[in-house]
Amino acid sequence: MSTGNAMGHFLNEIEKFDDQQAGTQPAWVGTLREFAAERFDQLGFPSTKHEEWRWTNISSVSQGHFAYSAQPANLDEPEILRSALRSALGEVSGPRVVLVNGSFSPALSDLGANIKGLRLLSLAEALEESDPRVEAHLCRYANSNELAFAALNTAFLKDGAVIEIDESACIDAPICIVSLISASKKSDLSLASYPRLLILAGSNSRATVVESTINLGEAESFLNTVSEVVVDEGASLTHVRLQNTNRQNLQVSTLQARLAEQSRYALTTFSLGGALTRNDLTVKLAGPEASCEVNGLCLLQQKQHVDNNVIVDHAVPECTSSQIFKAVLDDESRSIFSGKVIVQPDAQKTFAEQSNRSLLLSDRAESDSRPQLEIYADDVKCSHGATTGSLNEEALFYLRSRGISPETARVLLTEAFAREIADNIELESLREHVLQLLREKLGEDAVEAVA
Amino acid sequence: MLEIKDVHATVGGSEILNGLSLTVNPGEVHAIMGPNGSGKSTLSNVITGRDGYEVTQGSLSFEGKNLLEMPPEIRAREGIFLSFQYPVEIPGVNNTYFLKAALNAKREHHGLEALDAIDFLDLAKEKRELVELDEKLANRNVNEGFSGGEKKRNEIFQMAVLEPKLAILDEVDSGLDIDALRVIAKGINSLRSPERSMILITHYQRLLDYIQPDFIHVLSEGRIVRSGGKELALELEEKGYSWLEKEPAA
Ligand SMILES: Nc1ncnc2c1ncn2[C@@H]1O[C@H](COP(=O)(O)OP(=O)(O)OP(=O)(O)O)[C@@H](O)[C@H]1O
Ligand SMILES: [Mg+2]
Repeated sequence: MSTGNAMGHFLNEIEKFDDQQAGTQPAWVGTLREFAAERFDQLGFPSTKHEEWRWTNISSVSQGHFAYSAQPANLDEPEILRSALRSALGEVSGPRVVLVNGSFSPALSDLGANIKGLRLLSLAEALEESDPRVEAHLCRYANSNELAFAALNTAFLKDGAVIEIDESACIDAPICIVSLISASKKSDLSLASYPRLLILAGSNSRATVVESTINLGEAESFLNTVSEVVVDEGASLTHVRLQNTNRQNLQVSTLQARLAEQSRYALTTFSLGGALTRNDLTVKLAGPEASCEVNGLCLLQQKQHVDNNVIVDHAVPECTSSQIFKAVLDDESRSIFSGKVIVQPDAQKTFAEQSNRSLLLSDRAESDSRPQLEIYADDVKCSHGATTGSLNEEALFYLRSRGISPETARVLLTEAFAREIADNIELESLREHVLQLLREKLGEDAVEAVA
Repeated sequence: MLEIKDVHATVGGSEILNGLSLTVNPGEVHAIMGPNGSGKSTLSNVITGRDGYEVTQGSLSFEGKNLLEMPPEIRAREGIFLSFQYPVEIPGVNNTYFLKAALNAKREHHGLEALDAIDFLDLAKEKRELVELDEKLANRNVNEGFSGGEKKRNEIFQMAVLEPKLAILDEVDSGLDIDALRVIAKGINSLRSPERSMILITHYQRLLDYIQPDFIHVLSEGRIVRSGGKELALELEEKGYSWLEKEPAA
C-alpha cells in the first residue's frame, strides 16, 4: 500500500517543521510536539476499515502533497485580506483573532484589550510566555494518543488562538476567530495549516465565540484544526462555527469540550464549503447539572462531503444534552451523521435527545445517519430520531400556483427547512450573516437552475 | 375568458375527467356542484396545471392562450387563482413574505415595477381588513397552525392581494362558521367585477345565497351532466344528485 509513502511525506513535513522551531519554543511545547509526532507515526491515517471512518475516505488527504507554509501568501495585500474578513464575519463585530494559514496576523486582529474579563491572544504568544493557564490545559482534552488527526495537529503546535474568560465575566461582544486560508497559486505543493484554539471559560462567565473559516482564491488546501474548550462551573458559552471554505479544501477538525457543574455549552456548526469535511466533536459532561446543545447544519452541493462524528459523554448525574443535525443535500453530495451518547454507570437522571433530519434535493445525494446509545445507567431518558425526505410537492405546487417560480419556491422551502438551526442563534448580526450565507448558497443553485 | 373543450384528464393512470366542456366569460360567476369524487377538485387542478394531472384529450384556453403550454406559475401570473379545498401548511415560510414575492412575480410578468416593502404592507393591510384576517395570522408562516376557517380566510386574503382575472374557489365555505361565511362572502362579493370571473365549487346552497352565481353546473363522473340558472341549486337541494346521473350530458 502507498500509505507508507503518504506517511513518509507527512513525517518529513513534521521533521522539517521541527528543525525550523529549534530553540524558539519552551521545552514543554517541544515535548508535546514530539510525543504527538510519535503517536501520529504509530497511528497512521485512519482508513475506511476503522469503524469511525467507515463512510469517509481521507486518501485525498493522505495522498495529497500538502506542505506546511510559514510564509502565508497575500499578507502584502491588506485590502484583499480586509474584504475577506468582511465576507467571513458580515456585520458581526467584536474582538478578534485573525489567523492567516494558521499564523496570527497582528495587523488584522483586534484583541479587545479594553474588554474587562477577557484575555484574547495568539497561541504563539501564550506559548512563548508559558502562560500558566494555557500550560495547564493545552493538550489535556484533545486526545493525541488515540486520534491521528489530533496528533498530527499537535505535531505542528505553534500558533492559533487562546480565549481566556475571567470568572464571572460577562462578555457581550462576540469573540471572533477568523481563519483565512490563502494558498499561493505559484507553489506546486498545496497548503496545509494546523491552527489550534483553546477556550477557557471561567466559572459563572458568559460569552459567545464565533469561528469563521474561508479561503482566498481557489487553490487546494488542507486544514487540520484542534479546539479545546473548558467550561467551568456555572459558565455559559455559545460557540458558533462557520465552515465556508472553497470547494478544493479538505478539512479535519477535532473539538473536545469539558463541562463542569451547572455549566452550559451550545455549539453550532454550519458546514457550507469544502470538498471534504470531517468534524469530530466530543463533549464531556463532567459536572452535575451541566447541559449542552450540539447542533449542525450542512448545506451541500456537487460532490461535497461532510461527516459529523459527535460524541456526548454523560459522565455524571443530572446532565442534559441535545443534538440536532440537519442536512440539505443537492447533486451528488453526501452527509454523514454519527451521534453517540454515552451514559456512564453513575450518570442517573440523564436526559439526552438527538435528531437528524436530511432534505434530499437530488436523487443522487446521500445521507447516512448512525445514532448510537451506550447506556450504563438505568434512570435515563434518551431519544433519537432520523428522517430523510425530499421537498413537499404539495407545498411546491401551492407556491407555484401563486405565481412563484419553481426555483424560488425550492429556495423558500429549503431555507424554511434549514433556518431552524440558524434561528437558534441569539446574536442578531450573526444570525443575519448566517441566513445571508444560506441564501447566497441556495440562490446560486436557483441561478444555476434557471440558466 | 376560459374555454374548456371536451377535456379528458387522468390522475395516477385513471381517467377522472371525461369529456368536460365549460366556457366562462368575463364577469361571470359559475357554480359547480356535484357528488364527492365527481372530479370538481380535479378540474381545478387541471386548470391550474398541477403535476400529475394529465390532459389526454381536448383543450383548455385562457384569454385565447393555450393553457396546456403554460406551467402553473405562468398561469397564475396570467391571472388564474385557486383557493384550495385543503390549503397546505408551509412551516418556515412567512405568509407576508411569500405573498409579496408572488405579487411581485406577477407584476414583473406584466412589466410593472416591484412593490417595495412599505407599499406592499399598505396594500396587505387594506386587503386583510376586507376579509377581517388578523394581522398576527397574516404574518405567521403560511397556514401553519391555522384553523380550517382561518385557512380559508387566508386564501381569500391572497386572492384579494393578487387580484386574479379568474378565481376558482374550491369549497371555500367548508369549515366556516356562519359569521365567517358571511365575512368571506362579503369579501368575495366585493371582488366581483365585470372583468373578473369566478368558479365556485360548493356542496351547499347557502354559499350561493350569499354569492349569487350566473350559472350552475352539475358535475358527475367527470363531466357536466346539467347546467342551469340559480333555480337548479334549489332543485338539487331538494332532490339530491341521483336523478341527474342517469341523464345524458348537457
Ligand atoms: N392522485 C390520485 N390518484 C388516483 N386517483 C385520484 C387521485 N386524486 C384524485 N383521485 C380520484 O379522483 C376522483 C375525483 O376526485 P376529486 O378530488 O376531483 O373529487 P371532488 O369532486 O373534488 O370531491 P369532493 O367533493 O369530495 O371534494 C376521486 O375518485 C379520487 O379518488
Ligand atoms: Mg374536492
